[in-house]
Amino acid sequence: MALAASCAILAAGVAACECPASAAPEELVIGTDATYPPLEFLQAGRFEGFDIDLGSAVAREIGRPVRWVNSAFDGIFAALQAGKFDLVMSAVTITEDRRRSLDFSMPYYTAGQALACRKAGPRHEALARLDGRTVGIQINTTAKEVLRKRPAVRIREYNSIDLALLDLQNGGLDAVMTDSPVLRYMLHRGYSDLAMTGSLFTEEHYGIVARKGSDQLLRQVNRALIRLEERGEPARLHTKWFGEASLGEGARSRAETVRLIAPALAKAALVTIELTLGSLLLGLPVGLLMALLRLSHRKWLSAPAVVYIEVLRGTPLLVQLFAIYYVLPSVGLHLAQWPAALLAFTVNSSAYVAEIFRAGIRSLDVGQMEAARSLGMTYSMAMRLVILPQAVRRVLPPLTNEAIALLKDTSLVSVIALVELTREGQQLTGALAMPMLIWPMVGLCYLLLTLPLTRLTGVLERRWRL
Amino acid sequence: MAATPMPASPDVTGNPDESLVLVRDLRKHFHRIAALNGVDLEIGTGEVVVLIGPSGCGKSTLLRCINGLDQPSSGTLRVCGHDPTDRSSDINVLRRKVGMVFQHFHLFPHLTALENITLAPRHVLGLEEADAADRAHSLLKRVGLDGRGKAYPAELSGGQQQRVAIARALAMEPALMLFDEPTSALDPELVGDVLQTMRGLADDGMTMCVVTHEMGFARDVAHRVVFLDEGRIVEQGLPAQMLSNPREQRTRDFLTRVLPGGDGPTRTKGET
Repeated sequence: MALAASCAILAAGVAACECPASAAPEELVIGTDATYPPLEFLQAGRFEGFDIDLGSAVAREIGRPVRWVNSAFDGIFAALQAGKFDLVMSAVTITEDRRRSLDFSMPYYTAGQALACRKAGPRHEALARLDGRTVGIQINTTAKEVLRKRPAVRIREYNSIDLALLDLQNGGLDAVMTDSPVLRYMLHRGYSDLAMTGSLFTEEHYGIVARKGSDQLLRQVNRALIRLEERGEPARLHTKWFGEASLGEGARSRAETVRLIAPALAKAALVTIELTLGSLLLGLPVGLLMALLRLSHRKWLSAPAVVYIEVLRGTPLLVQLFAIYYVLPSVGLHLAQWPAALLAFTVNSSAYVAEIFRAGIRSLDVGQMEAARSLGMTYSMAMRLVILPQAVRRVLPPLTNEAIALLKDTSLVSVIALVELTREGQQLTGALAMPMLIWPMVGLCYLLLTLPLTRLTGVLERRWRL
Repeated sequence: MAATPMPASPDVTGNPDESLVLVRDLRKHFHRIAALNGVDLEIGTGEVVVLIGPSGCGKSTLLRCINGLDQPSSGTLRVCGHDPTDRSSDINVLRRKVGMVFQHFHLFPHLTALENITLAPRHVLGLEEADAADRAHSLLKRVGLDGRGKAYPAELSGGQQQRVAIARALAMEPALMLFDEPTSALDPELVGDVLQTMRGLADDGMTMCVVTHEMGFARDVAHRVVFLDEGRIVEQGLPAQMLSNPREQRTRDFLTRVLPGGDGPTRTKGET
């Protein structure tokens, strides 16, 4: 996958750290974005694919047990720099841009850009034939470099290649350009109206990626690749994953697919639930505390709360996730995926919750506080017994909004390689090439998760009717 | 500047050397505007003092300074042996002894009438729930709301809410009750019951400071009527003298405006 320079630059901005997060030093941890069949994908929870087999063989040659870590491609180099894994093996094209911030092994696979068109429509074999046509690509891939040579070609970029293929099938595009092995696999599994045109437009070499300065590890990797090459291992794997036999039975029936993906979605939904509930349970008290601090008349209490709330509300959640998982290690604070995600969502939601509580408290008549104080209650007693019980009732609808938003925002954790519903949906569409079946199911899962929240609010509102 | 304060009533039960409330040269500025401009006032134990005066004259501010809801800009205050301006002493100890009734009741809407009354005794005084409930029930009876303990404020009329608010303040067994226009927000037909409750309190010997426009109540219940204008006490004296024959022109002008016909107090129904 020839994902772009921007990733590498972002990764380079994150200070490198020489201490891997893994506890056992002899374990070889390899990061991969398992949405890219047949190179790397998940099948019934197991890593599968050409890269997976070859990478595991390399680890065996070196004599270290291998552990694969799933990570979205956007964050994969940042995670490598932060020491979350030792190597990245994820169909990474060796480019000059990336060489500036990363080290590569010798090339282990050669691929190229290929085109897909509708069977019913014209076949565009040459670049020149694409002038005035619209071509879909995956965002920031090397397909863009190829197509840019023809200024008359209109480029449309998609988050993942299956969406571009879907648009092509629906007639929204004239062609789709992407890495040849992936295109071949996807067209075989689904998209029966589409066909690949013959020629490759580029020659690209995939390499295994390491942090700058990992010379010793890369020497071991290269020696292992050479020994495997001598034994004919890559050729055997090539037949296994790219040969006719590898394509197997082709498209599955809908019923079979649903049976196949239901357990995976259920497991991913559990992650979504745990993350949402966990960060809500922590975010509510933290948010309440921040609201109370911000309402304080003492500047030294309110000023830090204002900064906390404004910084967290004013920066994207995605950036906060990045900072916590990828930047904190550079100052020596390593958090595993789960605590990092929980921390990010807790602090982010607490900022919104704080403002919701503050608005609720301020919406009450000042006479309520005065009446409570005039009875001899302390400020905190009046808050606890008189103000907050009323404020909580008032802010229940906006709090429910926040909880639902949080539930859906948990999809962002894919950048730190936690697999929840949305990420699982991406992996499944990648592996099964059935987006029209999988995405509605993912949507349904979210709806099933938000409905109980809405119901709970309804019950509380009726019980607290004043 | 004004007439000498009335001496404390003879049935002094507290500290005989000291008035329950002692105010000396009290001043309060909100930004540039002076709400209180040098007020001297004493209230003796068992005394019922009614504060009258045009709106904005500082009556409410004076009450709020007495229980520390407002901080005066300068002057001396002594309330039930405490100084509400002293930041080193616990204002809550003073407030336990000073009940306050607001124009807009400020009942806690999420609690029943009974819970409104028991909340502070339970949490501030540490009373057992059952004891606090006993106290609340007898107070509800006293304000004429026997059996309405389970009602929420929204289910009560304004007059009933205000009587619950009085019971809520009484539940702390205060030595002094402050009333800040307790009937101004009520429909006319609901005023009588509230005034009746307050009259009962006065009959029982409660020390009261009442800001009101109910001249009938002032005439019948007050031991002393104090007229404030522009942040100062213009004059004070016995109700009969103050309401029918005030010395100061400003007092006469005010009374002419608030008393229909300008020829003396009118009695509110329910007070007769």
